[in-house]
Amino acid sequence: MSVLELKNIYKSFGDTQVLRDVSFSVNKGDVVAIIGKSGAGKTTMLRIMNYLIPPDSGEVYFHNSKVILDRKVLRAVRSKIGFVFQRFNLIRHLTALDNVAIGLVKVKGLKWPQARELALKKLKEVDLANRVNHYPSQLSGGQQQRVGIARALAMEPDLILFDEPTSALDPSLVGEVMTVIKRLSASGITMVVVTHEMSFAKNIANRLVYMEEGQIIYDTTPEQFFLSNDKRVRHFLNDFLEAV
Amino acid sequence: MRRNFARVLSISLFLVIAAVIYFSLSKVYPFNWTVIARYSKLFIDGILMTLKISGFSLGLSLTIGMLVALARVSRIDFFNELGTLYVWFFRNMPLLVIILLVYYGMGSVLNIDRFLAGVISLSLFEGAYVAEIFRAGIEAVPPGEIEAGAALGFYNHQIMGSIILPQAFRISIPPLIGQLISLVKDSSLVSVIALGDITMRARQIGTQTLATLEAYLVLAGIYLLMTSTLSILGRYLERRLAIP
Repeated sequence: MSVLELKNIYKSFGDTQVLRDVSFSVNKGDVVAIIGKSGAGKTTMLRIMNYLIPPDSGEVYFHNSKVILDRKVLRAVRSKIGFVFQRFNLIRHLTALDNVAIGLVKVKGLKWPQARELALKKLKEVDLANRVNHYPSQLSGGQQQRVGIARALAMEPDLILFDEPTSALDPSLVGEVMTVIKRLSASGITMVVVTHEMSFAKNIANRLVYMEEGQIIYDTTPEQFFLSNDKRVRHFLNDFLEAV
Repeated sequence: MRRNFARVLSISLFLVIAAVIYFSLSKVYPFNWTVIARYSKLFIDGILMTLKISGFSLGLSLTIGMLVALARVSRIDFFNELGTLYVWFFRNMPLLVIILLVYYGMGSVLNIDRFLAGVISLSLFEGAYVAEIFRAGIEAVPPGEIEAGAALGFYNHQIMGSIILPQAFRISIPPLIGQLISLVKDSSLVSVIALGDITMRARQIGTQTLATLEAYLVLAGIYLLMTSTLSILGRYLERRLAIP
């Protein structure tokens, strides 16, 4: 059953074509890892999924209904799609608790006390019960990112999109965030993760999408991908291993 | 410790210079403070009028400033241009000319009383500066946080109300306090339309008692006292609302 589907997406920024005829669909329960060199269009594709960036042409379907640039439609769709940012993007003037609660209040119409109660539960799920009243500036990158994940979770989304969730982190803090993401994937939440963490792509994802120059080159299982003899894939993996 | 020492030293130096000037002047100019003291009620009336004008103008200029700032960051070109035009006009016009235009110019057509004319002129003038302060504050809010709101499903007005403005306001406090101090100082210009503010009262007392220098010294002291109080208040507010 398709949760989200992209059909023939094209996107350019100025003269640079970032996506060329991308079609892709996420099914319920999928844990998709999107990998590829920087500039391959991974992040743009992810942002088109919740319409943070509208495509130049092509369609996005959420639960088989077409997403259009309409404020009510966008609200309905986005409230059901969690988004976790590379740079966390927590709201600076709110505590961790309120960062998680505010979506419930402003979008789902809960009252603050109930929203905070729920937010507390979600913060516990990401092991941050002891940081609820801290402001973003008082949290480490790893903690901020876990608040970001709790914020997405609190909305009870059908799908969570992760945009390189550990790329902005100190190497020592990657583990705590990956642990949380792994736990989520095991709980059956549908997710799409743009990542440079090959261990995640290899061991946790059940689908692997490899992109190059604005196109999806492979959409396969991790096993098949890592055993592939395709020159481009070997090249990418070699470059990657050298970098590590 | 060294900082405090430097402060005490500089204040002492200032007082010594002031005392030297005062005593050399007193050789040739017979200071007469007792006559000034008899007019203290008139001074107090003047202070109250200055505070009243400044207070009303503060409220109105904050309102104007906020509306113009919102117009300037609006996505609607027409509002944008209108806001730009407003700021251009009132920042390129001497306040004195605005006061004359409003009171004598518009006053010859409409029946505007002095107080209203003074408040309107000051508010229109300061509003242009306040608008620029708010605009800078709005533009200083990290785009990532705005994106986070959008990804949660916030409507644009909710992003403005719960994410942008609370931060923009905090960012704006220090320059706003500076502008408020300017407003109090600029309000002295309304004395040209014989509105009984502190400057006009001091001039009156000076000419009536012939103790002109004394009257103006008191006037200078009163302005310093009012503006310093505002500075202290501003610093308190800034600390109080600071985001950790």
